[in-house]
Amino acid sequence: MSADADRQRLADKDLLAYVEGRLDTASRQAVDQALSRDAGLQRRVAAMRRAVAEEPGLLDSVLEAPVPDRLLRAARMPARPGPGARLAATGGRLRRLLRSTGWGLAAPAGAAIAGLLIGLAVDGEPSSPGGGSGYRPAGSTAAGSLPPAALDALVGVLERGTGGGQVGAIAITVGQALPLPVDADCRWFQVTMDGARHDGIACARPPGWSVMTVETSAVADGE
Amino acid sequence: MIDRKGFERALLERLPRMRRFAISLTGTVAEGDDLVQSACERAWRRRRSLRDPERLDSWLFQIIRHVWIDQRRGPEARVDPEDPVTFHDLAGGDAERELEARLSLDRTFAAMLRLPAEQRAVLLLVGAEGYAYREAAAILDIPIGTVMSRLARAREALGRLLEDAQDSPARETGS
Repeated sequence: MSADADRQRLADKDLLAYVEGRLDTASRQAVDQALSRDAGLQRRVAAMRRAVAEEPGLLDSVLEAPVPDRLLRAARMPARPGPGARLAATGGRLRRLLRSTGWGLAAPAGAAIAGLLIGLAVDGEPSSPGGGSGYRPAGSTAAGSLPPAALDALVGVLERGTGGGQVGAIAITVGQALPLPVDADCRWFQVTMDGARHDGIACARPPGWSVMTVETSAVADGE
Repeated sequence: MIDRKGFERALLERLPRMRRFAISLTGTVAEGDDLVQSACERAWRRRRSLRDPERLDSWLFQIIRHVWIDQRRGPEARVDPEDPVTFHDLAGGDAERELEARLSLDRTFAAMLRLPAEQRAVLLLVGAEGYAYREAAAILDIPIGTVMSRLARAREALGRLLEDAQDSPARETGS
């Protein structure tokens, strides 16, 4: 750094402190003296003071304005467990999965929600629905697999209707109801245990919960 | 770590200030709100990287700045592979248009827009948000000396622009 730049930086620092009123008496008097000899410096300081006076109110009207709905939506908790999910445009796949299990989607609604489903993490084609029945007893999986202990803990949390919980070393997060036009309460879940994370979707239809799909990945630290 | 409910509450509370910072960077309400929307989505995905909840504010400003830099790199770089595909509103709502109209009458904002965006960011963080130089330097990922030189230049330029606007009757807008 050149000596000029050094001096400039020192001057910036002192001038900033001066216009912010943060100098002690001795330093302030030194700047006052310098100012009295230098009209250019006086103009600089006057301009800086003018700006400092405006700063607390900068863009105040933004703080007073109503926040648009789209931002409120973006700030609200996503329906899926955020960072764990591998993201893919799998709307069609989930629709096929739901249809294959006999839970069906009305055709127009099905088309309309394709956009909604973008971003859902679903991997692995569903296994055959088997027997034509859409319903599986609580805890069974249509795709992927969940360790039995994790399954028990997840079903417990789902049945209690809480947003998540910790069962021993198993951490569970459950999202809000997914906006699916199906006759069932479907939710994202994330189960973490033994260094593995299982992301999936579970749906409730009497008399219990079914795990529709699961994707397992290693827990990455520092995500 | 903040739980999901607490994180949501904190994010909702901070939206007005996130908007103010974003609009100071982009210069328009619509672009600023796009930026905040993307930043919220990224904040949710990276929630676990927030180690210290006390630093939530500066963490959010950092995310806004990073998204803004990514977006300025051009359309090719615009898509973060982790970003879900989202459709931002094509046209801003009434609330955004009304704010845009209000801002068009804000002479200080008009003068501020004539400064480089890097200077506007320092001005907003230090002058309006009240961050110490050191904290502003951390948010903007620049040396503290750069914060000071940008702030000094920004204040001087803004002050002169405001003086000129006041001295020139032709530019009086009757605020």
